Amino acid sequence: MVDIRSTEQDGLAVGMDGLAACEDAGCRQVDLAVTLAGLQFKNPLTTASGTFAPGQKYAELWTEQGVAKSGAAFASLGAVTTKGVSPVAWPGNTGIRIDESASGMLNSIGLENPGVEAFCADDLLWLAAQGAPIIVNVCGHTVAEYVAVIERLEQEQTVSAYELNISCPNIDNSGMAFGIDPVAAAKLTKACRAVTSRPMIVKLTPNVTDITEVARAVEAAGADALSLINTLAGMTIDLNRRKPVFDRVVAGLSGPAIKPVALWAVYRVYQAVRIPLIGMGGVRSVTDVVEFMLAGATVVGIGSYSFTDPLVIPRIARQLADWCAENGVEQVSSLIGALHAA
Amino acid sequence: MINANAKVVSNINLTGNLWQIVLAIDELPELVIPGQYVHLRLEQKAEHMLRRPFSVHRVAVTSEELTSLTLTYQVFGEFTQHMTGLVEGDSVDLLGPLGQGWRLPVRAKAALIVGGGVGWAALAMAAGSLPAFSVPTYLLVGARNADYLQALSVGINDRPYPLDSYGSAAELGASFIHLATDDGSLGHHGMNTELLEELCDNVEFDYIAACGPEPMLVKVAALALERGISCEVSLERRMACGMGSCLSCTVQTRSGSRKVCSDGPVFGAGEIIW
Ligand SMILES: Cc1cc2nc3c(=O)[nH]c(=O)nc-3n(C[C@H](O)[C@H](O)[C@H](O)COP(=O)(O)OP(=O)(O)OC[C@H]3O[C@@H](n4cnc5c(N)ncnc54)[C@H](O)[C@@H]3O)c2cc1C
Ligand SMILES: Cc1cc2nc3c(=O)[nH]c(=O)nc-3n(C[C@H](O)[C@H](O)[C@H](O)COP(=O)(O)O)c2cc1C
Ligand code: FES
Repeated sequence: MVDIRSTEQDGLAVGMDGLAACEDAGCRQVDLAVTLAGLQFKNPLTTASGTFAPGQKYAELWTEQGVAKSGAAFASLGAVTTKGVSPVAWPGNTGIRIDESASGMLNSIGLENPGVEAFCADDLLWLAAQGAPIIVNVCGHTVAEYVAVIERLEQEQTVSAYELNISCPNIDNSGMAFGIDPVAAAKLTKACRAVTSRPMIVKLTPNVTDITEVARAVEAAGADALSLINTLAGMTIDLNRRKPVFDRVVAGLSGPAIKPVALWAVYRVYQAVRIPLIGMGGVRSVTDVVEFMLAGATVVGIGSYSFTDPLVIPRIARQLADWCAENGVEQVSSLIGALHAA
Repeated sequence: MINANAKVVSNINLTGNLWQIVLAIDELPELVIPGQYVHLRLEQKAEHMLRRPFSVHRVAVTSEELTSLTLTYQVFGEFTQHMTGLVEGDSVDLLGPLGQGWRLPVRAKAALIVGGGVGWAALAMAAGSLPAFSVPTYLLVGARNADYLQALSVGINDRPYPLDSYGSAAELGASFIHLATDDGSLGHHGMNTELLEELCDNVEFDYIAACGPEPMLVKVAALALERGISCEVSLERRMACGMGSCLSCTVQTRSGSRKVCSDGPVFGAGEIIW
């Protein structure tokens, strides 16, 4: 039986972009390409939603530092994943929106975004010229709202895939409510499936007793891939005021502190479903990327660490080819889920 | 904008919890505009994943390759506490210069610069630039006490006023200084904003720049609006990326939600919904 998660290389011409440039004579070229739900990724890297795109300033910095070409600033990415997009503008949360914790951070942004119409007119238009396929992260309060966003985006040629965010701890109605209930998650997935034939990724929350339950439910409802994990629910306290730091008390923990939790979620979900996975949570180095792939991720998302190190993405993209070459890995796709075969 | 290592040239305690650090960096690709900031990270402290923003207080070109940036900082929490431990030769990860600075008028009848405490750091370069455009420039700065005011080097073009002339509307070139301290140890006893009305009655300003605690900014903005004076304020919000990507730093304006890190930190005062 062919595992649909491995790269389908037969008959597929991989462009030079997918091959690591190799300057030492005699060194073998590494194939960094992966396929996820029929989508070709030149390498297994994407941005985690809400932490990067549209990324005009990153494009500026990367080109200025010579790690990207102007006009194709994001060519070092397999895909760019956008911030959550809702049918109309959402204002986001009041009060303090971020706080730091040891090796991590909490956010309570609350999915602020200008709504799908403004997104298409501004961010999407700009992103489409940056040389990477676009995954649009979709959010809503109700099933109908998710469907409305997708229906609008179906008119846009430049959208490569959708990522349904059913896992945000930062909004009151729905958001994570879909993600913690397998029945609601499946219903939402099915409704969205009905309005698009584009690849549809569902993003899971770790804030559940058994993440594999929701994973299986959305797979059965028609999801093409899963991404995990969204942030972990947590809080911080302002000791001077003796008050919670965040107006909503709860916020989402991300960053290096959550990597082991994310790896374990990817590892377990890989065993539970047959669709491919986008793994994320605390990635900050090339070895983190390899670990997520070994646990079962086809694509790996880099999120809040871009705040710490704005050059982390191009650096990992460059180092991934080197790491593979040094470790005798000819095709990066051979790493996917390799831990399970051992 | 670049992301590179800067070397600590010096790091001294000015007074109380006020410190000043000088960083040297290879060739900044662009000029630092008055009001811009840098986003710092201390690599020695890996458990800190968030950078912290600091206004550029002064810029100087030390030799042909090196730019030196002076930052004046107040110790608040862990990050600024760690900063006090930096010594000459240490390296700091610097991202910047970032943000939109002051849109200083090239022609104006008179300009007023209102600073509260360490907020002066964001204004010092503006205070140096305006007289260069021959704009008569007035400073109205408040701080905790005389030591803080002296440590902040309030003045024009790095020429702080001699202490005895503080608070007495002394004249230096085209400029005038008014000072206030919380404890009355120098200048007006109380808040600098208490001098605002009178100053504006006496001088016809057509530009105000303000940086400091938000309640001070609210007062300055209200007065400017009332009198139809064009006014800019520099805002502070907690920042993660500094790159306009994460939306941690938003402020509500009359043209919608804006990012303090990249649309600001300087905004037209009339734009802000306080
Ligand atoms: C554009 C900009 C320019 C700034 N310029 C200067 C400057 O020149 N000199 C200076 O001393 N400070 C400046 N600040 C404030 C400085 O960034 C904070 O004091 C610093 O981040 C506190 O970090 P900490 O870890 O020591 O304190 P934390 O433990 O993080 O927090 C202590 C307190 O500081 C406040 N704080 C935390 N983060 C920020 C933040 N990003 N902005 C404002 N307040 C914050 C909070 O109210 C908190 O209660 C500036 C802020 C901004 C946004
Ligand atoms: C500031 C911020 C905003 C985020 N916004 C979104 C969002 O809009 N939609 C979403 O699905 N996930 C969002 N996330 C979650 C991230 O995409 C990611 O799943 C999580 O942060 C874990 O990865 P990391 O540790 O690499 O950041 C956000 C995270 C952060 C820190
Ligand atoms: S700090 Fe990230 S958008 Fe302003």
